[in-house]
Amino acid sequence: MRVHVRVFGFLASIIGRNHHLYLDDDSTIRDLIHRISRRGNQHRSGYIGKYRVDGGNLAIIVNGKNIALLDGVDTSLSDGDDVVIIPPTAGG
Amino acid sequence: MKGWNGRLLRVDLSRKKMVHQEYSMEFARKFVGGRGFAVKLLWDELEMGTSPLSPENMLIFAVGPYTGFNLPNSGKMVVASKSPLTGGYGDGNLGTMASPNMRRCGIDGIILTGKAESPSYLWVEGDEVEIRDASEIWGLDSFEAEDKLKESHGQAAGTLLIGQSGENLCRLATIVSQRGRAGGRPGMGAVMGSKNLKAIVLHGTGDLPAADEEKLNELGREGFREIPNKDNYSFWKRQGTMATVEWCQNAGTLPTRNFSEGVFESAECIDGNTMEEMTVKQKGCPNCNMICGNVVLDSENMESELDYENVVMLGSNVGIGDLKEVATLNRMCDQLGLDTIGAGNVMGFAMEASQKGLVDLNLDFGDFEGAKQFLLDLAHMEGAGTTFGLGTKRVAEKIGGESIDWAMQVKGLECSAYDCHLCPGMALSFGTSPIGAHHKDAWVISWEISSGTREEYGPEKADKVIEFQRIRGGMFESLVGCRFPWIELGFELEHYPKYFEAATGISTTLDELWEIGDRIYALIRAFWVREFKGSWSREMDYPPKRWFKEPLTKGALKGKHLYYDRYGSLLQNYYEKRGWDERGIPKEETMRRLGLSEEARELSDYVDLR
Repeated sequence: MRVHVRVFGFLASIIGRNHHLYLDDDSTIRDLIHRISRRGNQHRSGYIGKYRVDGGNLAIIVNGKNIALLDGVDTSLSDGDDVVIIPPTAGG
Repeated sequence: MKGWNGRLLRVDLSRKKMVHQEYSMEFARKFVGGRGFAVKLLWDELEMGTSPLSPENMLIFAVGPYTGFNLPNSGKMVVASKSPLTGGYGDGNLGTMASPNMRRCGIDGIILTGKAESPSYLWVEGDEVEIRDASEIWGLDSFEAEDKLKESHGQAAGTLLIGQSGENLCRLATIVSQRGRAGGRPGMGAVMGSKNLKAIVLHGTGDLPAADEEKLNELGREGFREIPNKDNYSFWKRQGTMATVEWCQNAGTLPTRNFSEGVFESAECIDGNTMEEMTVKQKGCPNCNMICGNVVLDSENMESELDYENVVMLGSNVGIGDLKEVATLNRMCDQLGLDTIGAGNVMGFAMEASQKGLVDLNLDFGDFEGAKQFLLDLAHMEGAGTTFGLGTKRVAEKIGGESIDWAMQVKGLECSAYDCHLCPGMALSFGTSPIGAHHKDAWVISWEISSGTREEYGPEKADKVIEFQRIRGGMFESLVGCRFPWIELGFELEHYPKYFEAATGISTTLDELWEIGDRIYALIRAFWVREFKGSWSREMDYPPKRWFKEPLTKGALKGKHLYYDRYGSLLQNYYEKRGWDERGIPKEETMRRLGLSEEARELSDYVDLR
């Protein structure tokens, strides 16, 4: 299956903003994290820069819903899903 | 006294009397500066029930022992008064050259009372103070007026001004400086206008004594070096607060069409990425190396300084999805001296009321030309401005029916740019903010979303709101400094007690600073209760009814809304942790513990303390 991953804020300057990933059919967010964290010459699995990608420090949103409201990193993915990874953000 | 100047400037505009007054070390230690000074002065000196636009009201500009030193982001100032928009305590914070100039005039605050007999401005240079004729600049917008003042007084002077909104007593008038820096959302500009005061010009060249000059400068150098090494620095420099548009859109919290929805179909057209393509220059506050003001050319080819709040309230919240047009509305607000947040909020309300046929106004969501005219009307209190210029709550009370449900305000102050249909923690932050619905004190929404606890109403939300209120509303608003290095880049809080000690010679801890924050909060709450007496109730700490009664209809959060009973429990939890009773009034024991025994005795003349 193919999912679209968008990475926001300063994380985008580390690994790039838009990613189209081809994953096995039974993949979960955990698999996606493993793949995405290897982009942009990253060497530490599960991390972008110094941030651990687990839905804690960085919010992960699948089709508009935070994975914390779904099954966390075990949330299943489907073909065509839209995934957003958001850093702790600026604004107020 | 080191760190503090130990003096305030009192100006009675009616009697044309100017006096420098020393204040005690006890006052400095207990209230630090900025907001702390302001609320203590208002509590002690402002008679209960004073009309906010009468000569008797006090308008206070205050800095603190952090301000103006060569330390990171120390160019801020607090402006405070009894609010003509809410009837309670009101304040705001702006970054301006007036802050270091005030410090170098040897004062830590200016207290204005009375009313000048004709349009005037206040000129302060060192110890010299004059009330001068402002007839040539009265009626001008804030940009033109500032240019004229700078021609007379030079570029190094700091200026604080009102636009036409303040002159005409629009309740949404702010105090502005440097073409786009503004503060005092709860109508502080109207208070200044009611005193016939167009501007304050400050020029100071005196010494600013620190307890340990060498240490302070060393700490400052280290701080300035550390900030650019933070992970988020380069991205922050590119987008500043504007990155939040994209973030809020994806989190479903972007106020859209008077907060009826949390997603906007044209969000990409007004976000930080779009702005990056348009940025022509950047502006910042004094003593800041992470400047966040991005300037673009608007639809009329004029410069406009953009921030998240302005763009959302004058963009998605009023259905306008063209960043150049939004920039024009933003620049007009700065010129007119209008609160961008309040103006966008009341405009969204007006558009909805117009759509529902409840007012005699032809103004649809997305109507850019109509929006421009609406802003002019607000600032001149003409046409639609005669009613909408009084603020969203008052208009809703006039319209009646259920319109108060979608008047997006708390205590009369318009909500800033976060939709809370599914953010109970942020709703609590709006509900308990000491000035009405503003995000400044406790911007917990980022934590609430990132931690994945959006549907929860547990006690950790009350803890987080109080933690943020202590840091942001207590420490930064009294020191007075900017919260952005900490909240945006992760610049450690542990720096600030060191800065405080180097400046004042007094050793302190973060815990001590939190306690001062709690003292300030309790006294601000006491001020509100004293003003509202019998009509004060915990209902005043509830966010707008729309978030409870009207679920979202679009996006992934479709169907979501807040729950009254759960919010009530969360609020109760907040009160208990603060040591306030079930009405939201500080308990006598709490006030005593915070060193407010005298204040508690006075408050008990108005309400029974528990």
